[in-house]
Amino acid sequence: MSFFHISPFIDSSPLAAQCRRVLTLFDADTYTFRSTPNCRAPFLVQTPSLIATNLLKSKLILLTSLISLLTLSNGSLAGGYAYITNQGSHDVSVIDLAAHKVIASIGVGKGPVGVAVSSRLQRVFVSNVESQSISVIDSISHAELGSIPLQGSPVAVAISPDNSTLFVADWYMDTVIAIDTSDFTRQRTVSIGKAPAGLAVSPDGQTLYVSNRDSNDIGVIDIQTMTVKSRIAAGEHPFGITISPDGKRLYAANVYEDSISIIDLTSGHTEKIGVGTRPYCVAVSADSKTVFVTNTQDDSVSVIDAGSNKVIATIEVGGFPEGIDYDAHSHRVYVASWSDNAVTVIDAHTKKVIDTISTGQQSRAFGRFILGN
Amino acid sequence: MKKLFTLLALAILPLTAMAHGPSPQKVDKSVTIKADPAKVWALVKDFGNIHKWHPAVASTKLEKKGEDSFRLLTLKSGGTVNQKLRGADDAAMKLRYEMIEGKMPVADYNAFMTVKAGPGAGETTVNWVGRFYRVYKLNPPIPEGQDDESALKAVTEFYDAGLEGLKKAAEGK
Repeated sequence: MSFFHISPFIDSSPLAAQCRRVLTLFDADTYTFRSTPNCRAPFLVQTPSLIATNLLKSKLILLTSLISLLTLSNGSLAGGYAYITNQGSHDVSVIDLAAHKVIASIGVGKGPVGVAVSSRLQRVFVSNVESQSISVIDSISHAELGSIPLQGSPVAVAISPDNSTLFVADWYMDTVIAIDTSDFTRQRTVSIGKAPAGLAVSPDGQTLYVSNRDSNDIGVIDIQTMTVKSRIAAGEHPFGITISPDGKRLYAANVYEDSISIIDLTSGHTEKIGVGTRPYCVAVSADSKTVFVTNTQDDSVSVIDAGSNKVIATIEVGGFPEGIDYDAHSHRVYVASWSDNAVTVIDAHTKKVIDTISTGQQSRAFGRFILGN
Repeated sequence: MKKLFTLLALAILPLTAMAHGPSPQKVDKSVTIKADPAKVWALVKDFGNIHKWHPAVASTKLEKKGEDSFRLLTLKSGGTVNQKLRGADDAAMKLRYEMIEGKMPVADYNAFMTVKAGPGAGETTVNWVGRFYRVYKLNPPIPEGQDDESALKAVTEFYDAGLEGLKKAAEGK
């Protein structure tokens, strides 16, 4: 199998250089780089089967970091960060949530959309829709460490509560991929409905939900076996989905129906309520009592009381609002505005816009993009 | 074995290497007009009379269906475009509309126009933002004229010509 061409990923950072020095080089049988005790996870790795499909375009990527550096940097997370994917400028704006300022702009792949964060791994994962890859960002140095090549076109990314697995919805291959966060070549794939787009993981880490945009349903996947357990009917064209922090409900934005589906995850009971025009994404307050929905073509956010399932307020925000997330620390809601190249900040209590932060071009931020401390 | 893998890889490469998700496309254009904002807004919000300022539009037919307003544009280059009014907000001076169907190489097209005073005294800025997809939403190969570039080119040309025409009409030239 020695004919496989392998070009090493070049990371010029001092961090990577240190790490490379302590790496054992290469295991000819498995084509796997191995970590050493000094390196947390020099991830990447290609197995012959992967190479067969990614041959010629594949790069061998080495993602490295040193535990010592991570330990030294632990104090720098006060207030947390929001990671905003910018489809048009092919980068990620890092917003310091205490200062409400963009403190870094990280170049990633083409057309970044989906985002997932892991405080424990100190990683941010970004789906590059147009370059068929996942960018891996170090949340301490705010640098892209490398990328994971994929076959199709990734949309949503989500991380399991125990941080062991990164889930990727691939809407061209109609699959969901579970990637081991300690070894990116360890991947499990399950076929699902048409154009899987949004992802949500149950707080107990047992179940993964995926919105099948073109099949108008929500796939229910058992994470341990990566098999489809059932499919729940949603409205037309479900896109963003979110589970309430208490784990009791799933909310799905039905884009073509101007509604959201509210699914009781215990009883399976489903209710639909009307929101604004072309809803995209949903965020839920830390106490699970309030739901926020972006209406892309009304430039607004609908606020829903989870007790009565009624819309209690509509807030004007920046144009074409897409991604939305709730900061449990400050009780503020952050909304990515695609046409304004900005993030609108809402006070969840007063339901008023309190700030607008300029970001990169065509901000989308599809997923849970707030990394708390 | 080696040859087989290489051939297999070459065979699938054109498909996998080019495949990408259909991302929404954006055209964002502005013009500064030496005229009163109210005068410019009156032209913009007059949904059934875009031909009065847009040089590419030969005529407009306004139709009401219940509470909804539609306009059928006949283009000078031939063909028609059917659009639905989504809202005309006088306070914000913001017009929103979407395309139902028509001779434009776009899908899911929707747009807004805003009118604001400034930047200078006696000046008005008009901003026109459209969001749309290419016509062909599936995996490549993408048929000619149904790709992102075709969609962007058509909308960009329509906006550029329109804003120039709006400026002329509002400035009375």
